[in-house]
Formats: sequence, structure tokens, C-alpha cells
Amino acid sequence: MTDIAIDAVSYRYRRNAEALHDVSFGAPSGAILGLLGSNGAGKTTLLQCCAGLRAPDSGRVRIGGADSGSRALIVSGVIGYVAEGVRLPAERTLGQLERWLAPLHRRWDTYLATSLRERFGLDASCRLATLSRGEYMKASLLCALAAQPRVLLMDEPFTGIDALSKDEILRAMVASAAANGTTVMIASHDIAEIESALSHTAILTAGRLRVAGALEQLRERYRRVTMVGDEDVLAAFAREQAWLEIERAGRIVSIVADGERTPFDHGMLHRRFDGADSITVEDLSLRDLFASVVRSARTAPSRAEAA
Amino acid sequence: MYHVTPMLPFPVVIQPGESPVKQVVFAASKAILAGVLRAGDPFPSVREMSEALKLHPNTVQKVVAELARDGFIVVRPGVGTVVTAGPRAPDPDRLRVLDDSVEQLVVEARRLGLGREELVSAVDASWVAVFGDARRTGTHDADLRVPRPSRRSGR
Repeated sequence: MTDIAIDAVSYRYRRNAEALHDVSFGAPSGAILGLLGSNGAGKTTLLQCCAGLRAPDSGRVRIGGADSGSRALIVSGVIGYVAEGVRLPAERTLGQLERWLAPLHRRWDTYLATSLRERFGLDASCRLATLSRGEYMKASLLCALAAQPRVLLMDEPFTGIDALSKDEILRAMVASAAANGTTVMIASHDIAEIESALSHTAILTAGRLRVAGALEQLRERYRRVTMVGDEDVLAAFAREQAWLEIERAGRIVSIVADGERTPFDHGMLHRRFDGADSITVEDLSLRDLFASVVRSARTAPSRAEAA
Repeated sequence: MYHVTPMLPFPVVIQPGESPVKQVVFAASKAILAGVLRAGDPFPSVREMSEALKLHPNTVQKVVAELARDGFIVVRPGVGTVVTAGPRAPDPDRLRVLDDSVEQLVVEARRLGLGREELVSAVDASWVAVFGDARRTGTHDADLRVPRPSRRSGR
């Protein structure tokens, strides 16, 4: 079952360049999808389109089968949305806010709210106006998680959050995915920290989708292949193997290879380039994949687009 | 009454890059083989493991499936997951799984200027450190022994 289906979404801010161009991908139920991109790549705009806070110029987003613009989704608590700039009632306390939200959400979990408050180190009797930036973010996360939404959208939830609370947020997120099958889409620059919690990723550069899919498949598809050898074999290697990024130092060539376009089974590489002194194939971390995708999109947009 | 963060009976810190499934399977099987976890001990649930390791539940599910397939644990619906007496007798091809790691180790040893004997004794010392003295102890050792080539007929 597909919980988030983004179909050919484009969005343009008035008179500016397109913020999103023909973006399509999806996330199955229970997925935790990391939405990655440099600043200005379109992550926030896309999350707002998913939350129904912006209507795409063309294309559409469906959340659990319903159009994201439909009022019913946010009101009934199907979607949870956490971002900097989300306003909480300043003159109320966190406890008052919780009691106010509880009857509005069919699946509100009082026990979870209390337990998250403890884990985040928040005080129920504190006025929301007096919270620090990090505490404010934690309070809005608490409200989103306790409502147990089917789809949770998080835009840079770790801004201003200390390392310990970051751990607690990630734990609460995977526990919610494990217990309720919550689907999460999270935009964050802390790639290394969230990598293991993710099942899927989507990488945007300049409003375009470059890479999307299940992490496990991407891990199989993109790998770093390093070859040591003489000029002729290195040149043949660089010519024949499809790559995202290439680096070279003397007798060594290292590429981030795209295994879908030219497979890189280790034995086969050895047979095809038997003049090489050594060939190693390594797994890429998500951070490395992201960096390669962004750099390759900058230097050769057409090549990355074909990928 | 408040939330208690689950702790795992085997230590593992997930490094980015390498498949987390492989890393957790390695840590768990090492703990079982070394006797940190014994036959009959409860094995943590998917939810406990994903929370403790901040790991996606689907990833943990794969870890459990892999450990069960290799005979380290048994999943009993309704009861939970339990550690078994040890993996089933190794099939003769099992050693081939290690080929790549062994090759890497040999090359690395050579690069550092180590001799063959030095490497063999280092491997031996590491074995003793993890599993105890192989020649004297344990049921584990019997289970893990790789069959001699002579036991295989027709080759």
C-alpha cells in the first residue's frame, strides 16, 4: 500500500525559477523516507505540498489515497507536520495544549504524550512562550507524535536540538513506525545520523528528483569502484563503466558507479579489465551517495538526469 | 511507569555505509557463539531492537530472518524469539563464504610485512580471545568445526 504518492509535481514561486519540476516518487506504508537536498533544492516546498499547505501548479500528491489538499486529512489527524515556524499558542502551557489537542485527534495517546514529555525533558506547566528554540521544536514534535498520524512529515526537526534529544526523537520515530506502521518523510541535513533509521530516500537538486528508492536497492545499485592500473586500462574503464562521479590520482581511478547501467560484479570487472593491478568494490554510505549525486548534477546535469 | 529505553544483550554500534543488516547479524551471532547469549535466552523483539539501535523495523526484521535461517534463533509466534543451542552443522560450502575476508586478511598481513606463521597465530589468538581455548572447551566448537575434506566422498 502506497501511503505517499507524489505524481509529476511542479511548483513555481511568483516570478522565480521553478522550485519543483516534475517530481514523482512514492513511499509505501511504514517507510521512513529521508528527503535529501542542498539548501534551496525544494525540500520544504515539497513537504508543504504533501501537507496540503501549498497546492502544486501541476501534478498532485496523494496521502493514503486521498488528495493532499483535502481538508479532511489535516483535521482528522491523518497527517502530522513538524517544521520550524509552526506556531504553538504562546500564552498556554504544554499541558493545556495537550489537553486541548487530545479530543481533536481520534488516535491521541495520552500515555505516549506523557512519556515523550519525560524523555524530551519538558515541563507540562511551562508557558510555551518561555521555551527555547530546541524545546519549542520538541513540544511540536510531541504533539505530532502523540496524535499518531498515519503520515508524519518532518522538515528539519533537529534544528537546535541537542544530541541526546535527537536520539530520543529518532527512537520515537522508529518505534512509531514499528508499532503503528506510521509512514515518515523527513528532511534533514544530519544524514549520517538518520541513515540507519531510513528505509527509503529521495534526493533533490534544484527542484528536480535525481535518485529515489529503497536504501537497500540503492546500496546495491551505486557503489564505489576503485581501480589501480596503467593509463590504457584506466581510460577504458572510465569510458565503459557508467558513473556518477569520477576521481583520479596517478595510477588510481575511483568512480561512483551506477550498476543499473553497467553491472559491476567483481569477477566480471576483473575479466573485462584484466590489465588492471587491482579492482575494489565498496559500499557507499548515504552521505557519500548524496554528495556524489549533488556534485554530478552540478557538473553535468544531463548525465545525472539520465540516471 | 515511564518509558524505559531498551538495551540489547549484545553490543553493536551501527556504522554508516556498510549494510546495517550485516553489522547487526555479525554482532548478534558473535554474542551467541561466544556464549554471551545462551540457549533458551530470550532474543530482543523487533521493536526493542529498532528502538535501541534507531534502526528501521524492516531492517531489523531482516536481521531476525537471517539469524533464524542460520539457526541461531527460533521465532515462536506468541512466545517470542529464543536463542538456540547453536547453529546447525555447517555444510561443506560454508567456508567459501569467508573467502573474500580471508583474502583481504592475507593481503593486509602481507602489506604490513607479517609472515604466514605470524598471521596464523594471530588468528588463533583471536579465536581463543573470543571463544576460549578451542582445543579444550565447548560444545560450540564441535558445532562449528568445518568438516575435513576426507569426509566428503567423490572429490
